Parts: sequence; C-alpha cells; structure tokens
Amino acid sequence: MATAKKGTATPLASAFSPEETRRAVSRVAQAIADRRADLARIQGFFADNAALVNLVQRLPDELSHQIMVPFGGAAFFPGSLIHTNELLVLLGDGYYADRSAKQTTEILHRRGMELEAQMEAIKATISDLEAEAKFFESTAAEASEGLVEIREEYDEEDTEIISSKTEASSSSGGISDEEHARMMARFDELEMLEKEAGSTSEDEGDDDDDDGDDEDAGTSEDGEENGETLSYGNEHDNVSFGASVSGSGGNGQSQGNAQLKSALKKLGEKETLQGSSLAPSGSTSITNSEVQASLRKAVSFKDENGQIVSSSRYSSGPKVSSSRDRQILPGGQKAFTGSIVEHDEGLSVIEQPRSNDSEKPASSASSSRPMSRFKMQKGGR
Amino acid sequence: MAMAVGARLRQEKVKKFEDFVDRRLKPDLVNAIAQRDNLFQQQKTFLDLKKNIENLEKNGVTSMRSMVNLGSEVYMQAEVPDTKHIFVDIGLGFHVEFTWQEALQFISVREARLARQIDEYTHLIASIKAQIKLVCEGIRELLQLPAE
Repeated sequence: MATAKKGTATPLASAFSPEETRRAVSRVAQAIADRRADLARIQGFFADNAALVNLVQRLPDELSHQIMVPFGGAAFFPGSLIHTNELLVLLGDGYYADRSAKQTTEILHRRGMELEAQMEAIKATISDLEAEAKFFESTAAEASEGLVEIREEYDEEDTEIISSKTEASSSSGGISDEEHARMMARFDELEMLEKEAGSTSEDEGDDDDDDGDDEDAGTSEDGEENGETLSYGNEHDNVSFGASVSGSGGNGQSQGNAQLKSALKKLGEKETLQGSSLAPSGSTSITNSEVQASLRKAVSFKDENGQIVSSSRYSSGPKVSSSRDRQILPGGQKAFTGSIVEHDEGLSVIEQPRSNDSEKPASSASSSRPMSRFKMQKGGR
Repeated sequence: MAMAVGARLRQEKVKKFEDFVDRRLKPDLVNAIAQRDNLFQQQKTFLDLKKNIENLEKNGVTSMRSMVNLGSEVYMQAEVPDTKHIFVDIGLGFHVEFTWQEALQFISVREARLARQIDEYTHLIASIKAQIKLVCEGIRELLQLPAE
C-alpha cells in the first residue's frame, strides 16, 4: 500500500497496570482524606472565630460579667470581667494590642475572611483531587475492560495527499486489496458488457429486438453501476473523512496535556476525555462497515452519534476549509457513530503545575492547528 | 525439600513476630508514653497551682486582677474580689471549693497519686520496651544472625 499509515493501538491495560492504578487511586484517596482533615480543622477555627466575634460584640453591653476566673489549669476563683470594652489581642509573634470591642471585632472579621479563603482553597484542592481520583478510577475500569488506545500522529499534508489521491483514483487510495480486486473484476465485467453492446450496435444494428434487450440490460447495468460507484464514492468520502478525523484525533492528543488538565479542572462534570480517533490501518485497509464492526469489537464504543458529528464540525474550525467540511460530514455521520475515549499516556501529566493551564491552549492554538475539539465543546456550552 | 519447608516456616514465624512487634507492642508503647506525658502535664499543673497558692499566702493577697483568655488569644481583664476561696478541679469535671490550706492539702495528696501513676507507667513502658527487645532477639535467633 502506498499510503500505509503509521499509528499504534495499545491496550490500556498495558499502559496502566492494574495495581499501579489501584495504588494511585489509594494515594489520591489518602491525599483527599488529609485535605478533609485540614478542612475540618479550619472549619473548627472558623466556628470558634464566629463564636468569639459574637462574644466580643456582646461583652461591652454590660459593665461587668460574673465569671469564674481561671487560676492555672486546674483551679479558678469566682470573680468578674471588668473593663469590658478593653481587649488585648494577640497580633502574632508575641505582640499584643489594646483594642476596643469594635476594633477587635474588625480584627476577628479579617481573620474570618482569611480562614474562609483558606477553606475555599482546600475545597478547590479537594475537588481537584476528586477529579483526579475519578480519572484514575475510570482509567482502571477501562483498562480492566480491555479498552484499546489508538493514536496516530497528525499530519495535515499527509491527509491532503490521501484525499487527493482518493479523489483521483478511488481504487488506490484506501481500499483493501480484496476490495480492489473485486472492483477491478466488476470494471472488467462492465467493460466487457460495454464492448458487447458496442459490437452488437455496430454489427447488428438492424436487429431491434436484440438491441432493445441489450439496451435494457445496459441501462439496468448502468443503474447498477451508478449505484456501485455512488457507494464507492461514499466510501471514498469516508476514507478521507477518516483521515482527517484521525488527524484531528492526533492533534487532540498533542494537546493532551491541556485537555487533560482542563478536564481535571472541570470538576463534578464527569467528563472523561473524549476524542475521536480512527484506527489508521482500519481506515486504509478495510471497508467502512468492516471498520465499524472491528472498531466496535476492539473498542468499547459509546454510541453518541451526535457528539462525534458535532465534534468533527468543531474540530474543523478555523483551519479546515468549509468545502472539506462538507465533504466530511455526510460520510462521517454514517461511518463513525461512536466515540473513543482517549487518554494521554503517563500519569505525571497531572502532577504538572496547573498554572500552565492558561498558557497551553494559547501556544497550541498558535501552532496553526485547529483548536482542540474538547476545548471547543467546553467553550461552546 | 525439608529445608525449604523449614525455611518457609521460619519465614512465617519471623513475620508473625514482626507483626506482633509492629501492631501490638509498638502501639502499646506509644499509648503508654502518651498517658505518662498527660500525667506529667497534670503534675506540672498542680505544682504550679501549689506555688501560686503559696505565693498568695505569703503576700497576703485578698483580691487580684488577671487576664482571661476569651479564645483565639483575645484577653480581657478580670477581677477577683475575694481570693480566700478557690475552686479546684478534683477530676471527672468536679470542682470543690477549698480554702488555701485545704487546697494545699488536696494538692499534696493529688501529687502523690500522680507520682505513683507516673511510676506505674514508667514501669509499663520499660516492660513493653523489654518485650520488644525480647521479640527482636527471638527474630534474630530464628534468622541465625550473629549477636550484635
């Protein structure tokens, strides 16, 4: 085959071994538990602070309050609070300030806000970690299900070559040898018929009955032929579509980090990374129905027709011409009714600092690639 | 074959011993040490209280002012008009109103008791440590390692 595609199909189980994923899950769970403990502690502080604000606000209402004055850790005297509008507040590092009740309340409010910010930060961390845990769990589940990861480098020129080739001669582009042979046989057959018809019209032009029969046969054959070529045309469309889709799939992978992280950032949404990629060997060597069937077998499909279609539409955003867009769509709808869950290899991606998030998409966008369909979807909603 | 079985049995025994040390003896030891620390704390509290009361007695203080911690290191002044009567924690959340003399008496009793408890815990800790040592020696013998 002239246009043999390079691509790899690796079972997820080999990339993420079960016990490793399990360990990762447990480690993340441990981290979540730690953060929850922190959160509970800070929530305790916050509650104390609120109670103290309440107390400090109420104390100056009276000139004195009867209390038990602590005397060391184990004893107290009966006594009373005096100077109820004078408080000594620890500012930190052993420095104290004399403040009125109102001023103290302000200080305490500021402390409360600080605590709230801390709580928010911890909550965000927790939800981050939860998303991470969910990701690990789904990865583990998929690996155990025998999901296969298919990846292929995106090469726009390559894609164009294929599509032009397939346009020029549908036989050479992406149809299997078997199919090719079948088609050639059919062509021969048709040519023979044509020749026969020609010869009959030349030689026995006066024989009306025969001629009519032949013509009838010819037209019916023609109709059939048209049908065939039409279906071939469809296939050819599908092939080019496949190439472009797989291309964008590869592109999606090149932006894998950003995708992954954005996915992780969007919490609560149980979005797994969804991208469509196509078995390269499948698209080049097998006919459509076969591709579909084999993919169904190998990959646990999620039959979300609309999603893929919309994603392909999105992925062909600024860079892909509209004509190709049109070319892609009809075949695409028919051919690929599933979504393949993609994962970036290497768990270390998650550990990367999240501050890069905002920069990544920009850099990848500037690299003259169509935007990640994942991102487009997010943006679109 | 017999040797292999013997080695396996020995391995299992060593594992059991190690588990015993790690899961039983060491947590016990940590617990005992924590308890003893708690007792030390109480002892110190009562020692301070005794000193304070003796100070009050010596200086003949009948009223005093102090700062009360309201929480989060926010303090307010407090006045004690009469220091003759003091409420002392006798345990289990009960406080008894004592005069100074009574308080000192109680504190001495309490201190003696605390000292005894601390002694007990010290012995307990020592025995747990000895057990750990013993089991470790047993493991060493099983593995036929030379003595240190």
